[in-house]
Amino acid sequence: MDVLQDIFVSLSSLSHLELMLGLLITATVIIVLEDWRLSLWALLAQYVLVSLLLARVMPLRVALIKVIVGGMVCVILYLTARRVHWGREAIIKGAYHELAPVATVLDIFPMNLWFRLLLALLAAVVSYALGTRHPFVDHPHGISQACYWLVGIGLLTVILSRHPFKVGLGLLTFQAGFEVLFATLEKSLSVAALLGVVNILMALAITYLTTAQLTVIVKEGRR
Amino acid sequence: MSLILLIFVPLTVAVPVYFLRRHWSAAVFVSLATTLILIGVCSQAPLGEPAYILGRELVLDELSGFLLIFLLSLASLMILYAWQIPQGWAFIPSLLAILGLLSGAIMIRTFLIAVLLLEMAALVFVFMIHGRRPAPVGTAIGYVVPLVMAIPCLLLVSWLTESYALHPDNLLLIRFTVIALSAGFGILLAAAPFHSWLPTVAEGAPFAASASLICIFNPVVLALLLGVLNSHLWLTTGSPVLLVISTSGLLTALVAGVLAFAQRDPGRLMAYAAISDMGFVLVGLGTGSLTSTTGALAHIVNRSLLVLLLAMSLGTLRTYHKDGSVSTLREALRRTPGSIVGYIVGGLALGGFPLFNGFATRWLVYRSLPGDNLLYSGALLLAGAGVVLGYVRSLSLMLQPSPELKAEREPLLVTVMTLSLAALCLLLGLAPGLVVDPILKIVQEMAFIAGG
Repeated sequence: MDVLQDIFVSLSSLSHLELMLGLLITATVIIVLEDWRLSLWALLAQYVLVSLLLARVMPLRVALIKVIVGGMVCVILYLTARRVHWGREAIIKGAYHELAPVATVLDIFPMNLWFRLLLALLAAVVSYALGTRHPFVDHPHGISQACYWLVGIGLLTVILSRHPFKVGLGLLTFQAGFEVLFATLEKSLSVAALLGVVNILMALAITYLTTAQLTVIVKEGRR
Repeated sequence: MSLILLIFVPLTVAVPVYFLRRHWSAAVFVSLATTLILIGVCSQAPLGEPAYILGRELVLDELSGFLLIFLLSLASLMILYAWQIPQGWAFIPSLLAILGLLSGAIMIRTFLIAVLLLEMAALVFVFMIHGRRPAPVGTAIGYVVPLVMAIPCLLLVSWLTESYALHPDNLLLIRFTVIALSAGFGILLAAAPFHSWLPTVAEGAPFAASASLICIFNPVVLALLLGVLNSHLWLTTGSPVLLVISTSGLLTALVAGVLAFAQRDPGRLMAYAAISDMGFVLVGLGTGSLTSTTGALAHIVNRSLLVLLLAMSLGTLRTYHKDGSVSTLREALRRTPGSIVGYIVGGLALGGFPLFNGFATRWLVYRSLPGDNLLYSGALLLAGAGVVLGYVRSLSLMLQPSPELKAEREPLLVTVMTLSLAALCLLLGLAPGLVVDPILKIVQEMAFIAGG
């Protein structure tokens, strides 16, 4: 815990502009890229950045809980993603001949890449404008912008995805955005802990649904 | 101490029950013993005496005591049913975990914590969605997404109500509270226009799982709504929240009643009938009088019994008749007498057909409407007619000739359970006071009724 705290303190020298830029990149990766590995790394980075942002408005130990929970969520999702071969349906169906020897560009970038990028850009502009003109709270550290941005990108990811894993990443991003706002309103340790349990349960539910879909795909493949 | 047991015992027992899943009878026995013991604990627990957990106050008042005993009884019936007609290996452990979390949500005084416990219970429900056959992916996603959207609204309600206490002259806070409250509770109660997730779940998930969502989860959400209205009287006196509730109830009853008539899938039909009934409950609650609120709460009790009866009947019919079709009524009655009777009684009663319990409490809601409000009365009658006609139509569709029939007869225990529930529905229809009188005493104590 102390080591984590030291790392956290050293990272807290980042300015809130840098943190916002980091959140912009991580959430864009989640919405734009199809590759589960990259999305998972982006989610982990997003949890760290959100905690660093929150460390400015709430006690450090409570902010650290969010990093620990984020780490647990990502480990759960990593193990699931490995089990379902990172969502590559050809492997799951046993159709190895359909699979390229290495991940192709299309495995990483979706067909509607430009559309998603445009949506992300639009969401960024709207979040900035809303966060500046109608801030939820009076904190100056870009809390409102971060909240609008994460909630917006979370919703868009849910809308644009058809796989439970990606929908789950969208829901976790939405939840993270809401927690940014709520952490400034309610700073108690018990609420932070309960929100952490909610996040872990959500990750477990995503895991369960992703694995269940694997069963369906395998059955269809056998037919 | 006993209040803390009500939360942690089912949560703890869920773990060994999960590991006992290969010894199904043992798992059922342990679960059933747990729920029965908890009913005993709950009935013996002193009312109004607080207990503390992590500095937060837990209280079992008359409403929460009544609700907990009722929910635990329903859960016992579901466990007994799942013993005979398996609903997937995760059903019973998940049900126990949900009971523990919902007990906490009902008893804890802090609304914020109650909402978080409610969200946890709702997330555990995901593990029930896949029964013995995996449900379509859209079923689970269609459930999780609205749930995750609804909870932040309720968390905001807790903050907004606290802020209003500090700034009572800020009218914007009232407006935002009403919006957040309507959206959050509207989604969780599947009120129109947020109703579409419930039919999706009921179509894909096992019937007992859908029933647990409607019979166990919905009453707790409604209890939380009542808790908010009771604790913040300014909401009922200084905001249009009751008008929003009753208008949304009317819309819900009407939309779902009309859509119920068009359904061919029995799961979707059950869901639309339940949503239409929730509309009646909301109209009763939104009217805000002693009679209407009593009628609304009594109707929630009857609705839970009826949905459980329907879900049990449908689950058995789906297991014992391929695609839910039977060749003739006589053949069906010979093989699955309890389920056919349960399906007919449940369907008619849920639509408010006279003599059954669904009619008795609907009548209370009708009577409590202002005398000149023909729009409300007409719309509610139309909604009930839609549900009844939907069930008549669905029964005629079910009685199509089918070449594939299982030779077995439904288990005797299931026949006894469904027939007993059907008889109870008839009894409560003939003697509605058995449910209405205890609820009337509880409602009389409610601050927003007394204040109104």
